[in-house]
Amino acid sequence: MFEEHLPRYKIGCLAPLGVIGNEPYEFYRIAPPGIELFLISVGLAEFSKADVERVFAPMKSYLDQLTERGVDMVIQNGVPLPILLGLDGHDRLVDLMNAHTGIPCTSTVNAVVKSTAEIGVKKVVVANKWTDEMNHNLGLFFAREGVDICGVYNKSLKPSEFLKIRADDHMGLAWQLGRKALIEHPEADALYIGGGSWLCEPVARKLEDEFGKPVICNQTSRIRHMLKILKAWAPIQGHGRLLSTN
Amino acid sequence: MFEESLPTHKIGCLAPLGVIDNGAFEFYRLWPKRCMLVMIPVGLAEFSSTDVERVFAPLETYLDQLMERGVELVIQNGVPLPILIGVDAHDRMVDHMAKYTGLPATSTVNAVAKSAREIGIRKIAVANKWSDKMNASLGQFFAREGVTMCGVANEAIAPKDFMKIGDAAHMELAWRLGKQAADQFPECDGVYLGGGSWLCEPVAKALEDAIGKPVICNEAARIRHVLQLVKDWKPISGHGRILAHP
Repeated sequence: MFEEHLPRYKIGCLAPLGVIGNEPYEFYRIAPPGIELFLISVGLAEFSKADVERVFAPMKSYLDQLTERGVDMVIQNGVPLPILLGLDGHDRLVDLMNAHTGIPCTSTVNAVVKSTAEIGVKKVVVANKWTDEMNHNLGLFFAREGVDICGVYNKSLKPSEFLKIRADDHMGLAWQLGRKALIEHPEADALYIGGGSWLCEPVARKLEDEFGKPVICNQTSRIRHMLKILKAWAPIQGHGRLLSTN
Repeated sequence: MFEESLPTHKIGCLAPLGVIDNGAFEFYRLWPKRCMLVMIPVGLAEFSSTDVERVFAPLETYLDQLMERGVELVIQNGVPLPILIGVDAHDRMVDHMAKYTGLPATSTVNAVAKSAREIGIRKIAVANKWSDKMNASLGQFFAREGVTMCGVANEAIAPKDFMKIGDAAHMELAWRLGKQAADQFPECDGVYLGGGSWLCEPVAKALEDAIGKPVICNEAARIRHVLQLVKDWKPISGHGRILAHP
């Protein structure tokens, strides 16, 4: 009776922090209509492996709550968590998610590195608020997709610090870091702006216009990657190269 | 620099369950402007005043988290929570939210009862999955707005059970209970379809067409009420009478 109002796809998301704001705001603005997010906040408080292990301890309980709502897939959002765990820890986590749910499971870091490789990027420069050690681990995720990190432009901040930054200042910081990364690393054929606590997609588009190179952000790579998993992918215009490139 | 991409409003929401689902999906579909929901899922597990007290014990922590993200209003979502604790405890909670944050504070049950009055309803029939005792308490929230609850069509179901109902069956249940309420209580001049775990707005709209009376659902009432509080209310056409009414 209400078939035309039912969501076409339901996506389970493990959101990284205790508060959920930017993710659905950007997703519902950019993604095709009829896709519903089911979000659980895992409540990461600091960038440490111990805190990642703490927030993922109830993983099976999170997954049960999502599967009982009939989600078609699950994604672990937030790149800092897997890069704090490392490649093996991330892969074990995603394997556990797959085995427990029996549905496709993935992560934002997978979405980022796979999407970057898919659009032909070989050398990427990254801009973010993470530590040097975290960026080293991020490089390992890119490397296994055949992408080299050729430079890092970071301003290391804790979640407790960056969550207090006003939205306009936060976007300005993303633009400033991304712009300097592209200027200082002209050998890069793309930029990845990491982090979901700033509204990044408009910043990415502006930098693409200025530098003529693809600029990858979490939300666009997630939408591309998830739609591919759901076999619902078609290029989306108006939101940057990652979504407009087949 | 990114003014045109910034949200024009940021609404802090205390979401009732452990998973953010239909509320955000329906909100961004009905009000696809630059208004951001900043949400904390409080994780109600059962319909009991004890569980409501448990989930609101860290209320000030939730409010701190919302304030540091720059919200301009806080709303407690989920009608079962206030009707389980009663009018007085609800009012104390909302007063505390307002006093602690220095921001406008409200609740979905306020949105529903005030919206019903504003569009001229004097006698309302309600349809929901709540117990008779919860509905008696709901009647008190309507009563202080001058709205008499003239009948109840309910099928009491616990959250852990109704979360497992498929979307189509859930919407059909809303339709059946809503139609039953309108048919059994023809003296009503409006119907309230309570609950956020079913996708209710399309059901409300179909029911309005069938019975020729306004049908209120949480999401539409919340959008009306919240936009009034942030002084950005204008009637929204295409989604039923509660949003179309000036």
